[in-house]
Amino acid sequence: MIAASTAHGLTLGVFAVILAITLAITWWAARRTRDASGFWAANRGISGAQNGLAIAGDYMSAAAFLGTVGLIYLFGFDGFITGVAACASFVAVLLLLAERMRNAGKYTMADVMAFRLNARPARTAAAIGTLFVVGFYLVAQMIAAGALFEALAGITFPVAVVVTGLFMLVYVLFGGMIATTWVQIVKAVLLMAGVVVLTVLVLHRVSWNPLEVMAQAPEHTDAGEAFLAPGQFFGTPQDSVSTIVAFALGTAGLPHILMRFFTVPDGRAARRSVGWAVAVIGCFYLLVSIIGFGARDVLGTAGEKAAGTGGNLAAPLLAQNLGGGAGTFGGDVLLATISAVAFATILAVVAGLVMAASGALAHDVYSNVIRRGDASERDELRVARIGAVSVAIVAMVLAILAGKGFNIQFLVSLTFAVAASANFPSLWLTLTWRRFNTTGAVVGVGVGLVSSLVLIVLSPTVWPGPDSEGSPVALVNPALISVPLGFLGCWVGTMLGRAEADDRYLELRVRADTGLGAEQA
Amino acid sequence: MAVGDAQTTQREQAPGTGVDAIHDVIGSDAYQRLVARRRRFTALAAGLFYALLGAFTVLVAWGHDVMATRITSGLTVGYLAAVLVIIGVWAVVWAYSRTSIRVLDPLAAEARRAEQERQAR
Repeated sequence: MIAASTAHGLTLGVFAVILAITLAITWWAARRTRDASGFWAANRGISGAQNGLAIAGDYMSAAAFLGTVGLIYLFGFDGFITGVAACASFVAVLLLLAERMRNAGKYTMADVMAFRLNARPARTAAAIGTLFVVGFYLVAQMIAAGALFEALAGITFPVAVVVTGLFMLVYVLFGGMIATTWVQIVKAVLLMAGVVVLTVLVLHRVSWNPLEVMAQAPEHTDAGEAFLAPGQFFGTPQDSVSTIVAFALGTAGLPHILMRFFTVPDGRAARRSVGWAVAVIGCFYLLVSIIGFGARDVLGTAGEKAAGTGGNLAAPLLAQNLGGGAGTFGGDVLLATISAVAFATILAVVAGLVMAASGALAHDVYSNVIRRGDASERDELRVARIGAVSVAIVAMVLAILAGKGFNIQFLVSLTFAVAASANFPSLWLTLTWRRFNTTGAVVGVGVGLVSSLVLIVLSPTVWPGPDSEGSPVALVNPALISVPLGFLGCWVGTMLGRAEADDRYLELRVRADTGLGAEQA
Repeated sequence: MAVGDAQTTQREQAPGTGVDAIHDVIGSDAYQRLVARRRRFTALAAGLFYALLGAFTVLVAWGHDVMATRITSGLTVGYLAAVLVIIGVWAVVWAYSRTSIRVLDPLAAEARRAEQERQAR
């Protein structure tokens, strides 16, 4: 417990203000959400800049903020690597997917695949890939929310999980994608403001020279000079390569990020949104690296225990310390603000995840696979809301059952590994490979999904127990093996499957390249 | 739909252009140039960027000593390389945006216009 009860009260107060703002947004958005296009695609009325901020808000999870600061605080340079790779992932999104997705799809990732492939199997495969990625990520975020609430606001873990789940549902059920988008934008602004304040306070200590922050760090760690070099966190070269591969390709298979491209009016706005997103996300990680090394300078070895597993509480602790320390007014206010921003971060991410899950369940599985496209829009939206509630309940129950001691990092690495291995190969080949066929997509998603799941279960993080020796697979993150296997699955399936007429592929290409026939705003 | 066999009907009906028109668009000069220019840009940008990211990855994995080298008191080669990758991402986004505005968007508009005129006739 790092906070006194006055700080708990302040945290809850600041958080209540943020919640009130998000509820006002939801009320406003609810009046603008009338049909399916409103619910899933915000009437395609989000501008490039707004969508870029929303993507940043959707992408910068609690793991990105608290986790990266914590990892840099504990392990130095290695903690920064995932941030760099995460930023790099947007090159693949921009060059291969953003505009094409907007031009070729309607509401979900599966729309693009169903356009040229045999619709029911392709949609089913894409929906399964979506639900796995979104499900793992959702449970991870819920556990993170529960653990944080408990440490920073003094609310018990199950209550915190349920509160998070309920607010997430309110945004999605009543405000759909419009509310989700604006909650994400508000969160992105709050998070950036919080990060800027912390950076300013860190730099103020060292007379505004960022290099001085890093120059001092080795003096405050047992690792010494090695703190500024790779090798403190990743045990083997393969681990670091595999993690970079998972992050650098994973974003291009994250359904809740790709879904955001359907909310803008055209391909050009989709492209612009990536520009805004990487501008924000790049600055975010640069500032976070200064905060992480600054936490080392300020908290030193003495703070390692209080920062908890993975150093997740290093950022709030640093805020408290820079504000004047525990028990001081400045310390309490800064701690409360940063904690509240961290909760807002989680709420925005989980809302985006539930949107993607409800799209996969209602638009893909129910409307197009079960009802074969003859469901009315009313029906589709009813099922979307039922789906959102079911997904939320399952995620809340799983998070409470797993408990706060559960290894969140395992769930997050699974998310990115499954996204990179199961979703990305099929999606990319759908858009670019003329011979690609339905069998290839189904086998590719299946092989990518199963191989990343199996490899994670057999990895040192899980098998035979957390952080134990003697696991059959040495890789902490499976991407180095499972991404090539995913592509291999696509290729083998394509070779074994029946060749398909390529008229729909050509039409998809023309649509994706020129925007001819794309969904209108 | 010109190709009305069983396979085609399994796909979802999407509004928009028919198959004949698609071949017209594909055959058009503007579309061919659009595809060629986009492919050229993507190959160049992706090639350069992933070479940079690959070099960073190799150094992170096997080049601990190089990465630990100090350039000035607080700046290591590793941190500089990490910042360069982020700047590289920004450079790709900027170059893509410029190429799109100058070259790709006008070509796409031309390809669309030809098709819309054909439909209007």
